Amino acid sequence: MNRTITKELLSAALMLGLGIAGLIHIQYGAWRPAPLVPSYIMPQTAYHFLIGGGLWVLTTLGLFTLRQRVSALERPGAKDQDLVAIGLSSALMLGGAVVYFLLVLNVGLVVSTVAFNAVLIAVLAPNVSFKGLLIVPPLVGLAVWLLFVQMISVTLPPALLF
Amino acid sequence: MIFKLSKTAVAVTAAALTFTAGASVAAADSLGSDPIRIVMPYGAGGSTDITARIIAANAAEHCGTRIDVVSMPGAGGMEGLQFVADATPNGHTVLMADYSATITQTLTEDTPWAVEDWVPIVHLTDWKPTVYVKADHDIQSIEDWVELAEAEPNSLVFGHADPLSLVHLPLVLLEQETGIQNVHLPTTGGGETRTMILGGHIDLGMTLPPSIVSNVNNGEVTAIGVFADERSDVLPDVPTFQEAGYDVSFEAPLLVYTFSSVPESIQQELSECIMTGLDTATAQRMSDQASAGLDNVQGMESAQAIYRDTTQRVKDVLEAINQD
Amino acid sequence: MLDLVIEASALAFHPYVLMYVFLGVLLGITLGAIPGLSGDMAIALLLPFVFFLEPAMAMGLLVGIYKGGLFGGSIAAISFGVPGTPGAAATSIDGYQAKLKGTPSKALHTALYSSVIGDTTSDLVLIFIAVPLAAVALTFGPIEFFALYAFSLILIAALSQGMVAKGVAVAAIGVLLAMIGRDPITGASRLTFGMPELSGGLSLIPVLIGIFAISEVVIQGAKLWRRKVDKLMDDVAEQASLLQGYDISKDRLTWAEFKSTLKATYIGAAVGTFIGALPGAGQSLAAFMSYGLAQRFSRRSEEFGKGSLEGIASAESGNSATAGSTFIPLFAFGIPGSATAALFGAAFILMGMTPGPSLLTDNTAIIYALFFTLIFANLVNLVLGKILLPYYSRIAMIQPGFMIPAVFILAIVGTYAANNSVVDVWVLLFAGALGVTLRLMGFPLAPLVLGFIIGPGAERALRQSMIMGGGDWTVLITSPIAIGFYVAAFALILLFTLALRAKQ
Repeated sequence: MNRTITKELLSAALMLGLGIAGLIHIQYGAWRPAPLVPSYIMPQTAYHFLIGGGLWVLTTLGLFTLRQRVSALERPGAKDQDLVAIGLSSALMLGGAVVYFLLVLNVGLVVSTVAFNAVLIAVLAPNVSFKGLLIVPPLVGLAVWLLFVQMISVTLPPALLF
Repeated sequence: MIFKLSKTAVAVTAAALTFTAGASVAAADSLGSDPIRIVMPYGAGGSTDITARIIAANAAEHCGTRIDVVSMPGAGGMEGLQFVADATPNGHTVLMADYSATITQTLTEDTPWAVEDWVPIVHLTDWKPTVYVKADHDIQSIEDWVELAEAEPNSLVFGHADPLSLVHLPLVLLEQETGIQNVHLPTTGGGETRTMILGGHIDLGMTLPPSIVSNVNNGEVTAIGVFADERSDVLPDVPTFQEAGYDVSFEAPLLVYTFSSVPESIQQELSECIMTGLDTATAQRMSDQASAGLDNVQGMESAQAIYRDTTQRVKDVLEAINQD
Repeated sequence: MLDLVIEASALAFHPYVLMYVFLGVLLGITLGAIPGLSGDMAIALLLPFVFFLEPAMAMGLLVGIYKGGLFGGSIAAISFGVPGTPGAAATSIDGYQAKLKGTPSKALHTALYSSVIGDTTSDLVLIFIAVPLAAVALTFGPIEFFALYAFSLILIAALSQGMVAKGVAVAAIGVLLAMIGRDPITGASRLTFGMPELSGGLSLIPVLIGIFAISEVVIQGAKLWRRKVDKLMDDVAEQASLLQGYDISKDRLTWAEFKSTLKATYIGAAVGTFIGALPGAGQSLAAFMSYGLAQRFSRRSEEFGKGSLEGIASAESGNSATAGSTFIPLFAFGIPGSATAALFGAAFILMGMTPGPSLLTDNTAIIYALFFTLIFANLVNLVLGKILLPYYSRIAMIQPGFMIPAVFILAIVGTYAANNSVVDVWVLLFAGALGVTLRLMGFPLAPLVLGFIIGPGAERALRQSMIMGGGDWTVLITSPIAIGFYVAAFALILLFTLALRAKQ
């Protein structure tokens, strides 16, 4: 089984799963009664479209597999992504962002920004020089301070540090 | 929010400006010199915003420090209330809102605070919910409306903003009082209601007077009744529902609150400096220009009395709705 | 009449007013270029100052910021794939691809010219046919609006060429995300997963920036790390063209290229002007609709999504062409059709002028001065944009290892600052994760954002229509305008299907 098929199957599973879970929620969830049209009219329509889309993807996949033309499903020019790299950068950037923003709220905007920026550069940037690592984060910190604290005095809880 | 951004503008043409934010040097008092933040749980540009900015511009020198206006519409306004509730209780973070944020939402939603946790310190003005129709509509008075609605229940479409908002609850009260029935049509707010009225898509709508004054004066819409004890200053020809013989009045006070954890002496101080600031000629001129109605600002006692009254009234209406 | 023109020009072309326009455009372009910050926000910030300025100066400042912001949003969209403002989301589709191909300057100039052309068209329409158009906008009740939304959703599905099933599915996901929060009719919380923070719904800015920008930045980050780990420069060519080989003299927009984008620009100008005059429809809808239409009418529609200059031109002129017409309902009836119009309405009120029909009759001179300022600000936008662009397109070429972390941080803080909302930041990161997942599975992302934008309006219009019609579905086809939209939608589907057949 190649990657295209896996990808298509996963997409179809996502669409069908979401659609069916949603319909079950509509059936058994607590929806406040609304006048004339039920409160779930739009979500319900959306779920139907999701299920329809999922079935459509499955049908196309089946037809193309039968005709041995799976490659036709690939989008031209689409490269396979490196899943390990994306997993890592998602974890680092998105997970790191959670920590970063908690630090912003509790420690201070500028300090956290400099630190998070340094971490990101250190982990992500290829061939980064030590000098770059020392200079760029304080610059970004300064830019953030100028823009958000000086120019638009962003509203943040009182910070521990700067 | 008075910003350094604007200070850049000031620097360029300082001569054009008569006032800079935070120009006054802080006098040493118990409030301290940190800026005061007025949080309003609505988007920028509405009538609350305008009023808050009038306070910021005029009360700063009397409160001894800069005043910033912060708009926090997130989570239906709940984030704004949360921010004020979580702030250090030193009186530097205050809330400005009508009752839908502090009373209705607190009673209908699962919130971490109770209605009593909000202590009103200034009573700025009362908004008077007003019912209006298109000028060429068959209904041109409260009597016409009730008559028509009694003859054919549920034939008239009534546009109001969000359900349970301050321009919806009075309608519910009136229907309880008179027994008439209308089709309730929620809209995104006063603007959409007015579009639908002007376009002839709906029959009646409810809004606050300043937003329809010009349409009324132009003869495009007719305001038929006001849910208040007295007529509105800006619409002096429009009768109240009480005058028409229906004992329904539901004014919406616009209040400034602190959270209950703020010491009483600071509450008192804030209340006084805001009131002094609004009592100046500049403040009154601004208020007139913007139809903000700040000509009868009341202090803590009046604010707390009207807050208790309103709470009771909202509770009654909500109970009645839940019984249906 | 002549007296009036003289009086108005004396107001509008006063040196101070001109200076404020310059200052406004400069601020607007710069703020708009920062993801999360928009002209709207800057206008809100400056509102208190209109108390203290002469009305003409205040108008000049605000108009300058507004117009600069509309164009500035496309700078971030093209340079980093991060729409600086919601309206620039459609611009980022092709703009960012063009930048990756090493032609950011062409893309930015296309955006600038089409932005100014679209904007000027819209201003002229505002000035000359404001009142009749407003009358049309007023005939749009819930039934007509629902038809317009349905029509737009059909266009979206048609937009995701070759992936209609996935396009429909992500549009549905977008609609579902928009349903989170309070039911507009009953006020009940729904789909909040028991979290009270979600009861206010997801805001537009974090969803938009998360889906388009954060996911892109994360994937770029992955590429960087990969390169770092194997030290294998498998993208040597790309790297070289991006860093060393970038030659700005080869990246000039030629006259022929400019001419080839004009059709798309005109489509954008027309669509944007029309959509802008409809209350509540908004810049993003205008941009996406003109993008879709321009693609369908383009002779090189296959280039759309791969850095097409026409794609940039249509999106950007559609976005900017809402600038003038969004004031039509405000001037004619005092109804703010958009957030920007609401802010300008507030500014009018602060200056003692009530928006509505009396605005024109009571303040004729100042309103005519405003009309002059609107046109003049476009020229300033053109000149300043032209001066600033070389610098901006160089900034776009800064080494990605430094740029990506900085953009990521700016997007986070900018999103927070836009609404002072912590929840928005979490929504931003969640939307980023969703965007990465969907990209990996090969879903197109634009329909999701459109579904998200249109969903609430469509739902409200549908349910309002049904309430007004007493629960009878046939109420939806009682209006000629609505029927017109359905017929047009049907005709377009038919046209597209036939066109596709013919191609194969």
